[in-house]
Amino acid sequence: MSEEALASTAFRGYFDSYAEAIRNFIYFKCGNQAQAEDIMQEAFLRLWRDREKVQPEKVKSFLFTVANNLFLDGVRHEQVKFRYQQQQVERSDNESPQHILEQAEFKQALEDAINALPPGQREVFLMNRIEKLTYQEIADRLEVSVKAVEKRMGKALKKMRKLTKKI
Amino acid sequence: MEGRDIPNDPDPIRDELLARWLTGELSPAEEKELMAQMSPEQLDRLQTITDASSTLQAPAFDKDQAWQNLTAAIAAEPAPEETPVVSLPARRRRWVAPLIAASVALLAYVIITKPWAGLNTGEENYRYIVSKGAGMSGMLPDGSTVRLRGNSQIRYSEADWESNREVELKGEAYFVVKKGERFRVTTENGSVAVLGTRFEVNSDQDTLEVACYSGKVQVSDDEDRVMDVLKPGDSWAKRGKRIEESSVSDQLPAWAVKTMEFEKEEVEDVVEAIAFEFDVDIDCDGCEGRRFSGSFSNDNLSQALETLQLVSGLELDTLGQDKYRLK
Repeated sequence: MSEEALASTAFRGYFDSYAEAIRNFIYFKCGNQAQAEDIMQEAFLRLWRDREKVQPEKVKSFLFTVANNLFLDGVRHEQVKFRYQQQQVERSDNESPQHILEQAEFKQALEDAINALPPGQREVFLMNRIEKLTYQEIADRLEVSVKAVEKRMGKALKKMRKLTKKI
Repeated sequence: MEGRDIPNDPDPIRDELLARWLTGELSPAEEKELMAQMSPEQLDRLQTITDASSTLQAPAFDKDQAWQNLTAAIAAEPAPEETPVVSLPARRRRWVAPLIAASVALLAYVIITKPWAGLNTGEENYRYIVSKGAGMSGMLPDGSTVRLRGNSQIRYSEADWESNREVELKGEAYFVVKKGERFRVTTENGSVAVLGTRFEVNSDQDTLEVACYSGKVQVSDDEDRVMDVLKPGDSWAKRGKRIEESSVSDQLPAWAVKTMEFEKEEVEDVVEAIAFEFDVDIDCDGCEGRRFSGSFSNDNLSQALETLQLVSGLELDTLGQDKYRLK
């Protein structure tokens, strides 16, 4: 099927809805953008092959489950890197070099603290903070109980508090 | 394998409490409990950290590029008529399979020089698990798992799976097979089946290597003559016409072993990781505030549990199959 023909299918709609979320889901686990995008693509390829079999209401969980299965647990986890939103409101009277330096230090400490989290906690923390998923949604996606998610999140919060103590 | 205990000041706040505080789901009683342990300043500080974390973004996602890559990959999907067809033996015998060991692991190692030995059915009936550079793990419809080495792939027919657990392999893979009917791995160079079932070998000049790590594995030639029955620890290879027998001493192939390393991790987290890796339940009472540095490999549960006991100074109870408690 040509790209033009594909573009008008429900398949494209699923891609629009879930591609980035799946990429991020894997990225938070491995910290490797290229690997995350490969796995995302492979998950959609599987969906394409199984398009006759997968019910529309199952598409989302199909994609996440396949991506999770594809994710190789043996790879060494890399550092997760972030972009910072530009729209942070800066009060003009606060734009002193001192303030800017403190902000940069804070961001660095935050990033270091996130990367110091064990992978399971990091994943939950970032899914909640960046993807804005509820604990229930995270539990569904990881196929664990809400309580397990809350425990990981609580541990992550404690660690974040300790790890950023110096700033 | 080694480990040591690193004392740590216990943090008595319940994890769930903090998690629910963040989402504003605390009951009045829980709020009181939390406020007794953390000052408003501490909570403010934590709020600042979590607020700042919410403004982070994952690296930019180029959706258009990703879509182009995907459509190119779809366009490159093999068309059914282009597949070179080499028929697998047409005979399909029904065998009454005695129950096999609960879990049978077999390693089939094959060097393949040709493309798929395609069955006479359309490609679209198959599911594929493909590993390119790195290895990859996957699950089959019955819960059996496969770990593929790099540049290897398997395919199987999901529609026929219940009546015919058959996987075609290119490359090298480690299977952990759930108890059930015949499980067969076919390759360009022959077939391997769990004992109690039969299989055919479709072999050429290349190499077929099989190693058995648990249960029994039978290797037959293309006329159903049994060539060998492997017990745990046996390995078998056919290189051209030469047959070599040797042994393996590990619990799984070296390339499928991975090491979990921990450095000053909380024992609770270590327990969670071990429980996940071995697919068992481990409760942990009194693990809090202890830390662990050391490593485990994923091929030996009892060794991992023993180390945990030694390091944590806790007692291990076996509560039932795959259920443990550290106290």
